[in-house]
Amino acid sequence: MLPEENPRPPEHINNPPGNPLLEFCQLLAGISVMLVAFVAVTALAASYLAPYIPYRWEPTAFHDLETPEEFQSAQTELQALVDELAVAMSVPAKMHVQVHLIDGEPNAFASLGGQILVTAAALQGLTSENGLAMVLAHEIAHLKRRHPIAGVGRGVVISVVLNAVFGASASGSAAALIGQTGGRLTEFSFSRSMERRADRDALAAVVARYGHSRGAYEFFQNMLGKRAEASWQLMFSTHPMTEQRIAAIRAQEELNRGRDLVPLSAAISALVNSDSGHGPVLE
Amino acid sequence: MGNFLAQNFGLLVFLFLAFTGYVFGRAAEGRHYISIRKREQELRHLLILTEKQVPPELEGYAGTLVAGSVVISVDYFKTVISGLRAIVGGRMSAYESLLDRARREALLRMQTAAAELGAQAILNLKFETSRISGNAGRGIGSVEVLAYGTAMIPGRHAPRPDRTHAA
Repeated sequence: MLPEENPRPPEHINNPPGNPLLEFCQLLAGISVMLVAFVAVTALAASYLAPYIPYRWEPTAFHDLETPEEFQSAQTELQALVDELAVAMSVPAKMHVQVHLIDGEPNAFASLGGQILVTAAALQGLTSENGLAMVLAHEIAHLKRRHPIAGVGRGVVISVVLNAVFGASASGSAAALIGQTGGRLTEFSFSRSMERRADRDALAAVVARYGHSRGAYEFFQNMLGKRAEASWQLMFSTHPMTEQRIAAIRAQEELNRGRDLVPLSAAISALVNSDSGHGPVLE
Repeated sequence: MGNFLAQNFGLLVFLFLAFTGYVFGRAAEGRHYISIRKREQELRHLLILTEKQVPPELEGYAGTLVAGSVVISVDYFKTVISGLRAIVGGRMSAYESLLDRARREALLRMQTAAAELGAQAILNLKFETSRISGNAGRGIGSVEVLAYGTAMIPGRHAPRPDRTHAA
């Protein structure tokens, strides 16, 4: 027996109703949460494991950096201070800490291969060696604790994971990305806990050297004066809660009332008091 | 602003394509379904059967091949959503509507072909599907769905093999 006519196709079976936008949002949210969690865990693992990379494998960034002629003598004095601090902070001998005095925005940071970069602008307004020693000891502490390699390791791992997920086509191959990251060594960031540890080490080193911590806050105070907290996020974004840090350092200051500050050495003193176009770059 | 545009050019292109895909894809799909339902109603009397044997009612009708084929492209939004779906798994609802439309449209085209021949029914319905063009490692681009069967045309005698000349 033939049927009268074809059955009407049921609409809800082969193409059940649904809202594609809602589905899209649910998928995107779920996958984003998983991705963020995965990247966070991987990055954390990388920053814990990276310091186990042998130090001699660390590439030396900035080793061929040329110091402007007018900074030469000041840099020699900075290097002498760094050497003394490194010995006092028992930095391993194979880790040769090298400091560079450069032009640019007020900034001081540590990088791969035992390099410390300080801009002349960052030193403007310093009056004592104590404040300078605090900054240098802070950066030496980063180096001693292998924070730069941890930061770079974290950055590379994040890039690789994101690249693997979103495909290499979006931003070049993974290898190129690692190369890029390597080329932007100054763009990694230290975590807050890294900064706190470096601060603690530095303060201990300053106290060990001068017998007190007076003047240690000078550099940070100076930086605060030069740039509003909001705008120097750019360079000190990873140095959180500066007011809090100064307060902590100051609490110790109370104990050190009346202790003598050590004056800056001659060339550095000349540099920080000069107005020869190397003043702080203000925004 | 210009800097922002330059830096996020890829993202903006992506959003533009996804938005365009969603708006136009939704509109096209809606229109297509309206047209499909209307024509299905019009052609309901032209029977489609999966039966291979000729039913007694159609005995003596001429049988001839009829086919309906359609190619439907996936839109960009569907590609994106299916890309996300492919990570977590589950029902690809974005493609389900696409293929549902393709199957029904193929049937309609086959029925139209049969109707032009004056057929009363189509026997031995078969579907075939293939992925064609534009995938480049990014899911399906477009699909072809082909429906074919034997149209049974009344009033004409089916050509029978002439056994006397066969030997």
